[in-house]
Amino acid sequence: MMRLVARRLIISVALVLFISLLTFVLQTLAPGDVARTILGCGGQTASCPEQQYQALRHELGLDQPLMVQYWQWLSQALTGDLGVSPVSGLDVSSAILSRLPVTASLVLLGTAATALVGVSVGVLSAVRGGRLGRVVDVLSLLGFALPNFWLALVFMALFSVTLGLLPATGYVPIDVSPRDWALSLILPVGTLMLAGMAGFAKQTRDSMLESLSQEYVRFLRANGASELSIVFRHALRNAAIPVVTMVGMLFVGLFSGALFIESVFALPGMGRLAVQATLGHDLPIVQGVVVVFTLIVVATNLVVDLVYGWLNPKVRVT
Amino acid sequence: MLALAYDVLIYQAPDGSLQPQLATSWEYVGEGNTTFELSLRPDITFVDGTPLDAEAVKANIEYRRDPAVGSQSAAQLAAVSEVEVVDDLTVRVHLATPNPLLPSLFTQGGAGAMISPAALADPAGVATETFGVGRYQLDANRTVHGDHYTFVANPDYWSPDDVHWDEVVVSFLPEESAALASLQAGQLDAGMATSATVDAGREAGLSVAGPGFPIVAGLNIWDRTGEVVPALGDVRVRQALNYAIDREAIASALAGDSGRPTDQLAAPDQSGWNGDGFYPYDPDKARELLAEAGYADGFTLPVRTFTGEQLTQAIADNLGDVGVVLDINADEQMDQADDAGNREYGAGFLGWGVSPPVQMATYFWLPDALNNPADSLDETLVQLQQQALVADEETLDELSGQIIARVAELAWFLPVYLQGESVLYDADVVEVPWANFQSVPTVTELRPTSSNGG
Repeated sequence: MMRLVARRLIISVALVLFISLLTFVLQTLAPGDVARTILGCGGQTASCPEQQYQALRHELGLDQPLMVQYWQWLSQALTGDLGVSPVSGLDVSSAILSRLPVTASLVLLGTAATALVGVSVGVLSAVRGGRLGRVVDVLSLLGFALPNFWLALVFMALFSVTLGLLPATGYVPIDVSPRDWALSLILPVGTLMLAGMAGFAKQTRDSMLESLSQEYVRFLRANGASELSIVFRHALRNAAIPVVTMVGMLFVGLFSGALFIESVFALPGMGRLAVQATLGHDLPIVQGVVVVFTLIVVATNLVVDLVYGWLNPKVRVT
Repeated sequence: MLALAYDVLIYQAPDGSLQPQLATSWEYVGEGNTTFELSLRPDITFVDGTPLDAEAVKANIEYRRDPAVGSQSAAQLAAVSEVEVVDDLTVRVHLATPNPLLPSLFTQGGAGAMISPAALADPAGVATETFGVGRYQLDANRTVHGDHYTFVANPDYWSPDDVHWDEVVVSFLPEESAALASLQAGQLDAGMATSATVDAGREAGLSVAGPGFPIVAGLNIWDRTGEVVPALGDVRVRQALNYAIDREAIASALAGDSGRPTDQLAAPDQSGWNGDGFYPYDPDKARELLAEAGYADGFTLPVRTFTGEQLTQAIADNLGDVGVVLDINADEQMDQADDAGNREYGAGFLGWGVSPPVQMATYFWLPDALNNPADSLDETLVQLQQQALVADEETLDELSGQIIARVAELAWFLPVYLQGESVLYDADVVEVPWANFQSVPTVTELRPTSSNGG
């Protein structure tokens, strides 16, 4: 197990380096640069006063070779200093730290809610079957088909504008008011859940059905094991492996989903920070967010692997 | 938003007029618009206690003038040769070349906001705190940069009657429809809105002010001498294109109530406006002029624009009716200053915030203008510009009108409509002063409807 972790960590370092380089190169290939953003001529039909533009480019080091610029960023980043945004003048680490709780709340609650509701519905429909099973099938199709954006706006119109129960947009930090924090997250998390839940339920139902039809289940029944124990202790544990994979994938996927949800619900999270920074060519922020995202994805995969090992001893050997 | 925390030397009111704020008076000294004197309001201090005096103003101008700082006013301040401290409350700005627009340069639209010199010496702090003379101060603990900014009233403000609220929160919402929902739910009291949501907002019972801050949209005819498209070298052809456009229909289709047709590069009640009437919609006249110029069968006009832009297509439909075929080339981004690239086209998309004609000249029609790829030269325009630069206020007004008329007569552009953003607001809570197509009122202008601020 230690070797698995060590190998994963080495690969992670390489991955972070590679992705940060890739982001750097891709971002500089896109038309425009941060000097234009600062001078207010970064729009689609922009034109910059040449003298001021060149002077600012020089000041920001944008006239240096790409690899020199990357090395400057990297050597700074290796000491833990992610730099300062040339656009806002803010320290990148503190900008990310101030936004991480928002995205973390959204993704953790979103994953938990989706998995909990999805697995429950899946188990229920596998055990009960029949009409409920068909409902799960239809729901999972709908969940994929309904655009999140539309769903989010319908929720706002219903719960905020018409019923006045929940705030339409915005975020309240948990230390300011736990109640308002929860209220501000219900609609975004609800939207994420409805979009992901159905697929989850279907996956759980399919794996459960497979588990329940196995030889050992018949054996357990024959030995008089209770139905509850069969479903939860034996079948669900065996059906859990593909579901755990899905939880991992969902968790990682929600980070990119958050990007969109944060924009619609105006939540000050990392996704929106990344979008704003990308549009404004604010490289230090983009790099910072990408590094943090990559680390989270790597860590999640590691945790998923460890959970596999716990669920299925065969994995531990390989 | 900055107006909440940073007073300016000269304040541009919603009706466009210039009013004293930190400067009590201003004037050009002598002839020729090269020396500008500002008298400052006495006994004013920045929030950090530094006095607002002539030295502070000098420090601000010199800071913004430095290209390494990246101020958007740097280009206009480049002509400043010296900032002279005459006495404690008097500053003189000396220019290397004449500029009649310094009063508007020192408003909130330019380099008017004054920052404490102590903060300028350590600019990192300016990113997270406010260091102005202002009605409000930023509350850093309740602010997430790029998302929302909380401002609290400054108890020591020099004009307490102008502080209308205890607290102002400015939020940036990337999705307009979500912003509309927040307005309807009462979470926001006022918000900027484009034509996409103004109607929906009005139907939902919100009040509408605007549109303001006009942007002129149309085509910039780059090839004014007919190098690439010989037909464009003939003024009759360029005028024919202008007659062929049904501006009323296009403006209402693409911008609705947020738009207004225009056939010139100016806006109503702003400097240079000539009243409507240069090019009324007249396709027959367009065909006539084309025939006179020898293009009765039309011609093909290559146009450069950016992806997702719709106006050029609407123009193409109109021009198609008189036999002119637009060959539309859309890039992801379009650099107006890319002279070499732009010279291959006959025209390019134009979308530009209307500013005074002597300033527009440096962007669009002087030979060395940024968006004049073929360096087209019209002697009359150059002479008018030279006269305007040294003119007094009254003469400048007159010359501005003549400049816009000359540009329209040359038909170097195909302006179609003006459009601007509006403000949607809850009239039970807030009042929004407004002058259509002139300005976006600063947030400081929003005032409570009832006597209780909130």
